[in-house]
Amino acid sequence: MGVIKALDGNAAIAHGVMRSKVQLVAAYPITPQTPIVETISSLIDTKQYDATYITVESEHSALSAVIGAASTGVRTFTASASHGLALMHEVTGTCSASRLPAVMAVVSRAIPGPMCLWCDHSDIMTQRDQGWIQLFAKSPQEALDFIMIAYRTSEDERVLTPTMVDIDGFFCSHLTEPVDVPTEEEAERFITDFNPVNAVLDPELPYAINNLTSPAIFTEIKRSQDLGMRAAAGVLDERFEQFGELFGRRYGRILCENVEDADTVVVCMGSMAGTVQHVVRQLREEGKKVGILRVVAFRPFPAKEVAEALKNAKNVAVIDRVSAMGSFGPLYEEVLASMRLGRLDANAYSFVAGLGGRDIWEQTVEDVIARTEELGAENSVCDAPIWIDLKEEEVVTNG
Amino acid sequence: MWEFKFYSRGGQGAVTAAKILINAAILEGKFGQAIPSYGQERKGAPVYTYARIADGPIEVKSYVYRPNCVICFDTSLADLGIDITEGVRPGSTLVVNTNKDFSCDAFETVCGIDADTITHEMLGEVPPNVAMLGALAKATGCVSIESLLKAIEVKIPGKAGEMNARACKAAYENA
Repeated sequence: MGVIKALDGNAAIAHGVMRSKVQLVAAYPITPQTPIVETISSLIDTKQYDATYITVESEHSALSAVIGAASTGVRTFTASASHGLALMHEVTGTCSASRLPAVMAVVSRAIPGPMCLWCDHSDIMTQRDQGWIQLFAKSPQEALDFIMIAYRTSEDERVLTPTMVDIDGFFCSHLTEPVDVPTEEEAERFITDFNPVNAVLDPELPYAINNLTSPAIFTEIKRSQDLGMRAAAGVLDERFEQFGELFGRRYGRILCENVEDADTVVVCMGSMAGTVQHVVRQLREEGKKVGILRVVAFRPFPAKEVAEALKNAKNVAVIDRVSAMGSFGPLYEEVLASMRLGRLDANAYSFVAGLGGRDIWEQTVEDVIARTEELGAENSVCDAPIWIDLKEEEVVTNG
Repeated sequence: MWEFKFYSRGGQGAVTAAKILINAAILEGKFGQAIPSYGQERKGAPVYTYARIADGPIEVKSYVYRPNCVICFDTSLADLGIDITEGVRPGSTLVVNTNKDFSCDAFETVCGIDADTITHEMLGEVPPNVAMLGALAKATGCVSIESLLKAIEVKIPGKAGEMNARACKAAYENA
């Protein structure tokens, strides 16, 4: 058992970075991620944490500095959100294709427009196919734990793929809870020294990386990346298991509660999972057969595990905290593909909720479940996402 | 489970107060959660902050819509049309910063405290947040005054912490 501290999600991330013995941090502040940057620089400044912090002029430079440092065999970290993550977009692919095991915290905030400070998953979803492992934490404790698990997964020679640890802006980043912070000695039982297995840049032996790649080999490089990402599934399982044994906090790529005999299962990610879990427990007390399937690892997507978990469900409600305008939400599409894999024919409904900081509270979840049960009873087909908690009178059709 | 909603204005220190409250709960081995709702930050603008205290882990991660305790730092918020009785559960407690008699039928218990005067006299021109916490501890017993004073001194180290703890205790005794 470590030291219990009252930390918000941002401070928990900073402590996770320190305990993971990250050697180099380069990040640019942006709401709601700024306190991560502040906390790390303060930990370094007060000599509680020995690392190099590079001040940069933009997020593009932050990740570029991380890529440069990681290429010399150094453990690295950056963090961003929304606009900042968009500015990094060009280099997130460079980092993953170079097989550099960096870790980034994404503090999810809506991508503009309209201009918005608050939480949704439109930023992290722009990165879903950029070749990064993506883990969604729901609480400050998980934020810290997942940072440590991310390094041990990304750096594994079977994987060599960077990881984004996502926390919800404000609903986790600014939410203060008791966090069990491992002592340095405890953390060292899990975090090993970084042993770069990939190419390491050396001034004595200069060569280029990431230069022009011809059609003759591009596809094979992408397939190699895909295999590394797929291997991450098994490595994540090993790390979650090992972490659970050492620290007593058990995680998995999916986390289920009450799904075995549930008629209706809610599938979700991020901080809303806590609220869904709370509502599911309350409804169970009233005798309602509902359950929650929480996706922790969105990349690599745990399709087989999702299919297995949903095998007894009659109705599946998937809540996306983003709108894929004109189509279905990204989590819903993954769940449908998983259900196909398991040859499941349960009713599945796509919900859009919690955009731009709108809270997903108990009533929102109750509404999702009630609507799903109604539609399920009619055996309705889901021909478009259902916008829950919408002020219909404010919606215009002519711009 | 205690579910708190703090009504205040930017600069009154309610966000910090909620964090100190949670720290006090943690010192007692309880579980706590503080969650502010941020807008475009400016002094004087209404600020809502939420907190929960329970004996076991708190899964829910949303704001508090059905509080059983409301903490109102500024009664003039009513002039902006802000209704501090919104969503309150039956049997709730109100802790209100006022120098007048204050009654409100929506609450079972109303605890008035002149936090501004106590703060002004003991600390000077600083936010009335620790005094409000003292009254909150008295009105609800959600945390002990001892844990609260300790949490204040952890958050605000040195002489300033001691002075704040004294103001908190004075409010506890006067509430």
